[in-house]
Amino acid sequence: MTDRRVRTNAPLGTLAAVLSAFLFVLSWRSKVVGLERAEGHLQEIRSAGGERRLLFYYLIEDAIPLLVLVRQARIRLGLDFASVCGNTWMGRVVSAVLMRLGRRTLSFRFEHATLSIKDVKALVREPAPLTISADGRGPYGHVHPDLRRLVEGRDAIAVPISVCAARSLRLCGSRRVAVPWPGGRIAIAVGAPVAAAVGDEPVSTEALEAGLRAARAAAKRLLVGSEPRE
Amino acid sequence: MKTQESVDPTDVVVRALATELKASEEEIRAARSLKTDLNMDSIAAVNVAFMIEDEYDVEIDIDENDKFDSVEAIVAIVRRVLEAR
Repeated sequence: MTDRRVRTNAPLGTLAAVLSAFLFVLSWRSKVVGLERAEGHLQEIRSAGGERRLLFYYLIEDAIPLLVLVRQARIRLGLDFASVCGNTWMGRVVSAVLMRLGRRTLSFRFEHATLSIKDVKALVREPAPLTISADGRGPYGHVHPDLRRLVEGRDAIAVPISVCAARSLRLCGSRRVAVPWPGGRIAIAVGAPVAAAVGDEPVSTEALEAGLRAARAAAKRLLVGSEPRE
Repeated sequence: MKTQESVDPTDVVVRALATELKASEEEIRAARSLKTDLNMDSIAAVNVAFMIEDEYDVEIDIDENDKFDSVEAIVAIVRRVLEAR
């Protein structure tokens, strides 16, 4: 069987090591809010879903807070997830960091016409729950229409997740990269599941986007509700 | 019932494409590029591959150099897979 993980080379491995150390700094003394509720919600979704495959999606600006959370929560949210990483430079680095954290990653070479078919086939067949950014290929802040097709292809239950930091640094005003403040609060919210095509009602991009907005609002509320007392 | 290897894969491929892309078999055969002419995306391509796999009970392993964008190209892949079986 082919190993579909993104292979690392030496410079990438070094960069991943540096970023992992940076992640340690970011997560040092940071407090995760909503983890217990998220654990319970995940458990409910897994039980209710039965044999249905799961696909967790998030906005790319939540990627670094999510990495911090993965480092902090370790096994609490489960170890069976496979993270989908694009074959971009950044995607490879994130993949290498995730592998250092003991997570499994799957590559998606979307820029290559034929290999993207091969990779989508692997994503559709993958039995483990997938995590994927909904807007990794832009437009940022919006669910990419192809996500709906992937949800249908997997006959999956899509679950929006949002991980927000109380304070974060926006790199160059980017909507894509939000680096949480070290030692700050990070909130996770798992949204209501959106099921794939049932009968004649296929899942819509709007429904996926609404789910993500609701999860984001829930994460923000958790942050407001957990402000430290003066 | 599984399709016999002796059956021309062109019919199987055209039928799978017509089903997935909701187009007539004539449109499928006339298309120069399935992606450009009939908006076949990667999920549709995967669904077509799955239909062919079910039909012949094989696994379609797509090679980096394969073009999965025309009936002829897909038929060539299917023939290669069937021959390798």
